[in-house]
Amino acid sequence: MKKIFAVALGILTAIGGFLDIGDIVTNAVVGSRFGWSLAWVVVVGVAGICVFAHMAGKVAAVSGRATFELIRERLGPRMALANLSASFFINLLTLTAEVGGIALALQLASSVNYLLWVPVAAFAVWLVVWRVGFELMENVTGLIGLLLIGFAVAFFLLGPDWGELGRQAAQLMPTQESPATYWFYAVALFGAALTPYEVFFFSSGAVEEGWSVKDLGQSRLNVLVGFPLGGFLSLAIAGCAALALLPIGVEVGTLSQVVLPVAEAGGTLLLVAIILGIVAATFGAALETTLSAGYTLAQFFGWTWGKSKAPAQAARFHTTMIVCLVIGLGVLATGVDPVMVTEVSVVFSAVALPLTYLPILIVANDPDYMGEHVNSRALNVAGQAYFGLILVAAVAAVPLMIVTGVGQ
Amino acid sequence: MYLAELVDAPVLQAGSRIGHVVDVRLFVPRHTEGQRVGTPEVFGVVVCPRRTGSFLGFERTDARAPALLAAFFRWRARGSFLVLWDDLAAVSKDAVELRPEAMRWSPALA
Repeated sequence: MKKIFAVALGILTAIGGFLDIGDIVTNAVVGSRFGWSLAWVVVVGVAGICVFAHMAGKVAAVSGRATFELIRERLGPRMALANLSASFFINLLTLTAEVGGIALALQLASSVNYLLWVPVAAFAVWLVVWRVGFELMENVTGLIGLLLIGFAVAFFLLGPDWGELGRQAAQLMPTQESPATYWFYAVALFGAALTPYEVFFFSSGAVEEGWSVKDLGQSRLNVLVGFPLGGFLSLAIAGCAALALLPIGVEVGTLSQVVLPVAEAGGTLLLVAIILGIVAATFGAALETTLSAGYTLAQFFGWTWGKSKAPAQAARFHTTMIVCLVIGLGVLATGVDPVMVTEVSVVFSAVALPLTYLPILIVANDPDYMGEHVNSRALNVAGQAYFGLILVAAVAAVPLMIVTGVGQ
Repeated sequence: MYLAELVDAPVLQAGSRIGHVVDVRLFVPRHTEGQRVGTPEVFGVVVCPRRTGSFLGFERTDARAPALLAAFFRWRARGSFLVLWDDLAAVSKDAVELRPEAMRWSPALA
């Protein structure tokens, strides 16, 4: 019974943990402009994060080593430093977007300007990183994040026209938008589904929780069941926007527009649930990106790291996290629109993805680390196909962003 | 001098540049129980005609998966060879000079 509970808890937190501000905003924007015609990207992206997180979790559980230790060992210090710089920067951008997301959600709940919530959010993140145990933190944010199921409820309450949605999903290129914009959002959705921090966090968290080979089954279940269910919620978010906003020509540009269909379909109660869900999901992701900032730097330079270590024992790890939160705070204090930061962060996620994906794919095949648990042939076929796809998305991302003026 | 400074150094033989150092091989005396102990000794340097960087582990003959990546990284490192330390005439971080009669060994690791 205890075991079933642990398995269920793992899956539930994976669902809640899958969605962050990038997924919420990007799916709503895409739904309001393209309907479900980019739904295939969510499916492809979710399968991709399953392949990637499965390999990263396996590497962490079998070798007991975290991502950036391995990257440095495999690529050598110089190439790994370039890799670290890019990954660290993208993670910082994502962290900024998540803290902004918490503040925007709190603004929706309180009508107090989000800029006043930003320092509160950043301080709360730091407090949790410092004081709260790893599993408690993961379980609470993951479970409250499950309230985002409200998007699925709203989707069904809106009375989906399946024929129309099916037509959108089958129609690859809507005529009202330019092909460049369509492909820009395809890359953005792909980047939102496959954010690099998810993998640093997933594998470092596995080391923090002391996973071993016997936890592989649980890890596989969390990924293979939890992430697709999270992807299902992504489709529901896009679907809500497609049903309520696309027909009246509202293009999502703010968080209040993201939740508009929910208010329309489910009233105040559902709206409250969704806002709480968004706060939990972005708060959880802010914690994960903050920790990831500490993980990547500490693992690269060989510092003591770990959430369970007190600041005095892992001073550089904790200082890194504080500095990153302060930088994020500073960026948001300039008044830059957090939704814009989010859109940029998911695109740059796509740019940086090959840097962490490739070393994981190589190490997952290395018998010196993995013994008998090296990738199967089928996993390698999928792993390499995704590497090709990730490379194409990474190369296309910045040109598409420039050509479309960030999707305008 | 640090060994890391040797990596990327140009390699000369008979006055002309033939490539760059991409790796330095060490030898650790093997203990009877399979444990490697003792002081590592520099065994040789791996020279590649191009500046390709690391082999990423694909220099080991048993590293064959994933197949496409293994093939790509082997292709990128084509023409690489191992030169024993005794076959180096001069070593500095600006250049490594090979003896004219230096043997070129396979860089593969069993």
